[in-house]
Amino acid sequence: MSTHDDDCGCQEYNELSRRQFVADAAGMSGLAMFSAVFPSWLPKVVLAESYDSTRDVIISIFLRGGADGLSLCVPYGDANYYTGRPTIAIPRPDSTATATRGIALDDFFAFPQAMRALMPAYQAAQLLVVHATGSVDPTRSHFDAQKFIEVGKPRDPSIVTGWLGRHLASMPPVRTDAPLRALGFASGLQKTLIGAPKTLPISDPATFGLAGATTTRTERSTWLKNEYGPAPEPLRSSALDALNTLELLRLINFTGYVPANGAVYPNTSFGRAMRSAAAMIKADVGIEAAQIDVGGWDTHSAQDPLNAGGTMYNNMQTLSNALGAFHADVIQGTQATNVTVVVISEFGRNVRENSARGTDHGRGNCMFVMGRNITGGRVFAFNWPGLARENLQDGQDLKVTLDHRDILAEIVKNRLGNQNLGVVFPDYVPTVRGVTT
Amino acid sequence: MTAVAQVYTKTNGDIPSMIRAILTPANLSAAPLKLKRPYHYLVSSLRATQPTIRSMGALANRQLTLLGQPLFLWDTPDGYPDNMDFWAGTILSRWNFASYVASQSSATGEITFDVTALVALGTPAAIATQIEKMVFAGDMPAGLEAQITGYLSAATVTAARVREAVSLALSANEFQWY
Repeated sequence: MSTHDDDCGCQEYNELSRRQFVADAAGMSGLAMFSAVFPSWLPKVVLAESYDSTRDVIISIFLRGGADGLSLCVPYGDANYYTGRPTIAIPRPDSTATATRGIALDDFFAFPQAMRALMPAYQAAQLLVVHATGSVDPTRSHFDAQKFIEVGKPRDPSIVTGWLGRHLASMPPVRTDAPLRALGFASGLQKTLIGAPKTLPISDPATFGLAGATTTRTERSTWLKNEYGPAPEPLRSSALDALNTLELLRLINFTGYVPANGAVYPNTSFGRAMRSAAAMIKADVGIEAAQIDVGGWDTHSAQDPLNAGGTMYNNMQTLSNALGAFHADVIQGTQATNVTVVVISEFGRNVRENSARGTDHGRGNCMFVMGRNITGGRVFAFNWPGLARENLQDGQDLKVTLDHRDILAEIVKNRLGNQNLGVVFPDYVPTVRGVTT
Repeated sequence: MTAVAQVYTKTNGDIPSMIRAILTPANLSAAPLKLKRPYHYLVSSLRATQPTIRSMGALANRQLTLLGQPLFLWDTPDGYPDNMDFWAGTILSRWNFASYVASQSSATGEITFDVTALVALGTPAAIATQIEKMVFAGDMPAGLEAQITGYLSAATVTAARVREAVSLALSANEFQWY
């Protein structure tokens, strides 16, 4: 983790920013915020002695519905994969089925054709696939599993804030004048971000504006700012953040944004969100995090990861095309910006397909991490448990051999500069897995 | 809890009796405010302004999507969240909905909000009082009424200005709760 040189003047700026953060935290609203985000039973937050303005921006992506990790990253080297999936298995890379065979990542795992847009990132060693990972909780409930991952701890109803929200709340802002530090590309704030200061749900930043006559816009904004001054939290902060963000987003040319390296984002809600995120990151306005959701992964029937037009094929293609474009545009772009992208889902799916040519809720899954400072170009499976029936969880699922929080914690510490891991992931001691450089 | 337990014991678990013990005026008055979800906000805004609505389905579907709560489209079986943390950040969409409702003047559009009677009241104070009755049934906090009056007083009282004042009343913090 680097620090600034003194002679660029940044050390003084660093000190000012930290003092401002501490002063804000000591104020009434800051105290109230702290006690809400950090209940007394959590370890004490240790503010960094100096903050690091080269902290990565983090793009956290949640695949809602339980994405099938065995299709996202195919264990073609395990014969039991083919035994259990007679109709939906991705053929081996050396198969003669050239249109549908996997693309070898190593001598055991492969990408399906639908994920080929991520090969440049993988070959550049900037994409890491982690397999047989997930939550240690065995729930197969979508909303329980999503909640446990988003709040960073399973089965603790006292935790109502998100892991990313607590990370942002326990770190000084990269820019003290930033009106917006994070956003959720959604119509409501996702649990992952609950508790984050200066954070809003903004489904489309390009259209974020106050409606009505332009001649009275400023007057009405001032009226609203005064009206919401005494409002109860979190409405007060949300209102003021929204008003302060209006001008910020109007200055960013979302419509005219030209991605670097000829990158083309798919014209889907996910593609547009990644494109907007890229524009905001390059505008260098102080955005530190974004949360983006992608739905449609609950493939109980007609899963079809093989053929163009198939449900999961289309989902994976959209995912990989947008991530691939982001890689070319931002991670390999001409502007020096450090970004880490993480992709996770609430659980994987059964090893064996069902009678409807789909798969049901499972356990172990894969997650993706992408960035310049990630030890990519490999599939990391800790103690790969194998897909033989006797090695499956409950006789049906890939086991979880690596708690996903190990990956997230290492990113939080090494790429986001936050040492307060006990706050971000309460009651969990992460193991370093060497996923960051 | 003690009161309800006593009722439970006395009535052998009669549910209506237990509910009456919970929903007393004192308990209801002491209950914390609840932030309206977009559906409730939309309905309460329309009830307050009483516009002529010619295409409720289209209006509701479009506006609820913009407000963040398209009907029946929440992915997981637990339904749309019912907590402030999820919805507070969508406040801008509510201000924009208020602006939309208050600005609809076409006699043939999907919705018409007629402000003729409001404008005819003439003075900012009289208009603000009438807005208070419409939106808050006479319960608008004095400070908010003064702010509405102030907005109306800051420029010529035109139909457009009156529409903006109504939209601000619907946008106010006090109108977001029930």
